[in-house]
Amino acid sequence: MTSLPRSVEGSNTEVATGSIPGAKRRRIPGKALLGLIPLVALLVWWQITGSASSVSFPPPSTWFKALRQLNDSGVLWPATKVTLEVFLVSLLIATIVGFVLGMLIGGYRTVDRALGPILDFFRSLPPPAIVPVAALILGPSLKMNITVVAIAIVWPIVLNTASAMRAVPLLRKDVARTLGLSRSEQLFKVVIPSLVPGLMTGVRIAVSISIVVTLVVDILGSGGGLGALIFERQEQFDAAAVWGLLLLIGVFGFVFNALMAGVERRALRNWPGAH
Amino acid sequence: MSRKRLIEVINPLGWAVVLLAIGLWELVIQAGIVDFSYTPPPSEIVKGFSDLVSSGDMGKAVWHTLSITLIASAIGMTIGILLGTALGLVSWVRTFTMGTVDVFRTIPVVALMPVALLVWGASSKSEIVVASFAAVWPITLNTSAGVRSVHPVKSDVARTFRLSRLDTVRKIVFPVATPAILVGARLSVVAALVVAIVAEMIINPAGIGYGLVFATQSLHPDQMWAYAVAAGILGYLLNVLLVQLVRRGGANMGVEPR
Repeated sequence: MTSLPRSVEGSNTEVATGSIPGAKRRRIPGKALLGLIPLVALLVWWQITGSASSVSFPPPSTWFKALRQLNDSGVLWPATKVTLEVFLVSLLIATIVGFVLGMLIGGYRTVDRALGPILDFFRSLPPPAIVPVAALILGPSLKMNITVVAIAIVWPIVLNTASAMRAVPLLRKDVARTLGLSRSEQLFKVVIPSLVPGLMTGVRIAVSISIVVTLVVDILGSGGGLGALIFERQEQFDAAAVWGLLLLIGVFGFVFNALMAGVERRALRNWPGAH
Repeated sequence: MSRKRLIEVINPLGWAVVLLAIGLWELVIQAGIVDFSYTPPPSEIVKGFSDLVSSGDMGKAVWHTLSITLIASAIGMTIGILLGTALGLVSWVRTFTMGTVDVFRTIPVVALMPVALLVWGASSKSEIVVASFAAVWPITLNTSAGVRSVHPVKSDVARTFRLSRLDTVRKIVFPVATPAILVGARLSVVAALVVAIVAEMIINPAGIGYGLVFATQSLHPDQMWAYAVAAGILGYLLNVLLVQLVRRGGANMGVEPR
């Protein structure tokens, strides 16, 4: 068995826009809105031609009505809270664990070699496949949901931190030593800051995987979140609520991805030439 | 091959750790030191795996998942390359659709599954639709970025030679964009695989994903682990194969792939 080349970044869903020249043009916010025209046109057309009694494609106005009903019956907010909690806490845990593990793997060749085959397996394992296995071992609870999501999304963070760790310029380490920095100063003032771009890439990929895995865990596991709610509505053939919840989840997805892209851009501004 | 290089390739330390972990796992369970009631020892997982292989269930499941992945990847790539090229080459297309593309590509595919279920029912068609949807976006973005990365000098050369628009795309733009498109293709296939497995868990009762869930619910943890391992191996092999393809394709273009 050959091991995967490390130069090709280990991510299942990485979008390579950041690294290809020409993709990195600054966008004017007003202009970005023009791009939404087809979507808006589609929704307007749907609203006008759709019939409210359609079993699969109810028009958008009914979605909001259905969402309001869910909210009034008191199920929407608790479900949203559960989903957000699982999403955020697991991301925090995965970031910390992934960063430390990535530093060890990138910093010590022996650790890298020792864990190589295991890492290769986990990075190519489709993340949702971990869910039933971990769910069975850990049992149904909120803690289990958080653990499962963290396990599923930690790999891109580990791999990107590790390759950033390997790529810390020798010159920087030499300068730190020449300046007579202590070991902990070297770590906190030179090495860790150098890892930020890699870490950010890993976290961005983790976020996009996490949104999917959080919902899968919810559906297969203990439930109580938005994923379980949308399937419960589907089983009732409440199409308007399904579309409404899809809209809500879609908005979350869009906001988190945009937020991550923004944070990454801001963080990278201090690292000229990092990307 | 020198001895050092051989050790580099085989990585005996890494595999020793794997064997050690498996051995320890077996020992801990067999000796009853730890009692995870749903964690069978590796020997039982191997037995579960061979049971599934000999009954034909494993072969059927892997074939189903693989064929859906390939069909969805093909659909996703066709749409993605066309859309990506249009987005990359024609500025008004980019201006008037990029926002919509951004919205669609960030929709969590899992949330689309109940909608697919409403529209197409619990069928392979639903599975193909959601997996194709997931496969479209990586290749669209990479194609568009690759197409836009053509150096202005090359565009000038095309103009100097009075190449037609079609020839410019064929002879200048695509060769430059190929490495990026190939990377996008790899990401698309992986995305299709992941979403196919999720769809099998949730909406279409077939393939590896369904095997995982069914084995869990029927209290066959050995078979569940066997399916999880199968998913990992399938993902691993697809990844290795695609990385090689991307490398070779990139090398033909004389460009180092990312």
